Amino acid sequence: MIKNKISRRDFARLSAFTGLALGAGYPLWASREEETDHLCILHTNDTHSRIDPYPDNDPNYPGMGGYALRAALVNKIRKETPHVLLLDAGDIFQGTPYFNVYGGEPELKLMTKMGYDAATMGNHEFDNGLQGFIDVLPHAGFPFVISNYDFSLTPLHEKTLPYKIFRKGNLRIGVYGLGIELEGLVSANLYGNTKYIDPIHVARRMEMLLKEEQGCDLIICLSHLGYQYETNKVSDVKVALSTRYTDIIIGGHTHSLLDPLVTIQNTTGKNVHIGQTGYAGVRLGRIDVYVNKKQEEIFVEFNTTKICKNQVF
Amino acid sequence: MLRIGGKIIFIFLIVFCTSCKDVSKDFNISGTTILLNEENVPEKDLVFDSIIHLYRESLEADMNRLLVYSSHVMERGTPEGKLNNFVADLVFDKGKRLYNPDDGKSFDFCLLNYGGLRVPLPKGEITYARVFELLPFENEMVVLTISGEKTLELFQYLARSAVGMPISGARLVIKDGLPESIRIQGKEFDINRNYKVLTSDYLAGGGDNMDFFLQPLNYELLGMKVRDAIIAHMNQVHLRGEMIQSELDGRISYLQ
Repeated sequence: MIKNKISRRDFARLSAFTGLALGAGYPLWASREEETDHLCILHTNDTHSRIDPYPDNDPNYPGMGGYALRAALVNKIRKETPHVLLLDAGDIFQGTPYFNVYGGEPELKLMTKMGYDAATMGNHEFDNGLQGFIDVLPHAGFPFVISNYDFSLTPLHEKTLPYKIFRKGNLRIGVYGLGIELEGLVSANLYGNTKYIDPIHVARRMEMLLKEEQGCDLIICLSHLGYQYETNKVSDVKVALSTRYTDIIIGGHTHSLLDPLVTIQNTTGKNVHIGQTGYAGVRLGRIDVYVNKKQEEIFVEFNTTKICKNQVF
Repeated sequence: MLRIGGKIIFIFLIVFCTSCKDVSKDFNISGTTILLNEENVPEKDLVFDSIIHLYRESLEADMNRLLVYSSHVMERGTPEGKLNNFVADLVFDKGKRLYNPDDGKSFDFCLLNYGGLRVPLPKGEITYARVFELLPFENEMVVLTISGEKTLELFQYLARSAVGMPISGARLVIKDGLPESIRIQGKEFDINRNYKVLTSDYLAGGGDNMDFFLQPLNYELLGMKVRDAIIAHMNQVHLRGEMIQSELDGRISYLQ
């Protein structure tokens, strides 16, 4: 009667039975059979209005990059894998005359068509002022997730999100966003009454909320702070070292090419992964997250066996 | 009966113990980047390409619009150049009209950088595209207040520079890589006073190793890009039915 190893089917059956006794039931059991085992995160940063590929005579990236190539690759990956999250870490704007002429409209339209799930705000998103950003924002069919800019005294109030939770299969993924200090980097008349809040405090508050209160499985930080600095300036590395639950930081601003992902341990010994794809959308970042099923089974086996040994019947 | 009772207790124990544990999922995470080139992405997305095409056509029409006529070729030069003087002078003039200082004192001179002038301006038609090629960077105009010592460092830097930095509002005579004479707003340089310099945010951040701009006594953004100042000036000149021009006036010279 007592099994050392409990199959998935058994769990489903048991959960139906125990559900009566436990009332609302336990979501872990109910979702057992449709376990999501893989999430593919695609990411970009600092694409800087590079709508067309680089010209064919470019010394570094001849014919490379551009939105049409990116769209083709994203579509191909979407056909191969069911659970894709497409994110951008800011500085979508500025860099080619497309931005000077259209103010960001084609960038946001094309990103929407590509199925972006979220982006955070880079400093160049302020280049046409808050009103300039608001003017083109209706073209974005995805949210700007930014947790440490307080826009409550600006016309951008409630037009961005502090965090967003995505459900991919049975995975709950919490995303929060961190922006760089604007003072000294962006003209004050462009960011107006935007208040910058310490990114580390905000990161801790967001990950606690997402993990402990919202029960997210995976926590992603979309950051435009920059990868690392020689000075004491706050960076993705500092965020990684100062947080507990954040699993992945998708970064930008410093135009760093982190390939493969940089993995560092936070103060609790947990791995934090930092990604960034360089500059101008010449590359697409791809992060594969596999749910470690095997370990879960071992975990369950271990418990049941232990209980059985301690029982006399 | 015992069998059923045992089963229930067993189930409860599992549920209880599991729910006490941290239910965090364990992940294996790896990542890489994919270069968007012909090899990795042989076919571009045609729907995207057609949308982009519409923007591109309209953009090219915009960018190829006439801005102004130039009466002669302007090239950058060392120690001064027609292009250096043209850009520095008009940025100085535009800045003068924008700047609203707390202390009522305008800036004393303007300094930009040789490297920031990417292409010469041809004689004849100047289009928007040409100005974007000349100044592709989104540099903001800023006014820095720096000490007399730092101002001297600035002119020492100009004196030993291998290329001619665009200046306006000041004159410099160089002898053996050192400043022989410095005049600012027609007056002899005075190390005992502060100076206000109009420059770009790029140089203000220490770009081109202009370290004398770091930690200024005051940093004020004017809220206009250097390129926008030039476009505004060209529009104005064209509206007046005139052509843009520039001359060498020996503002930076070598004493043999």
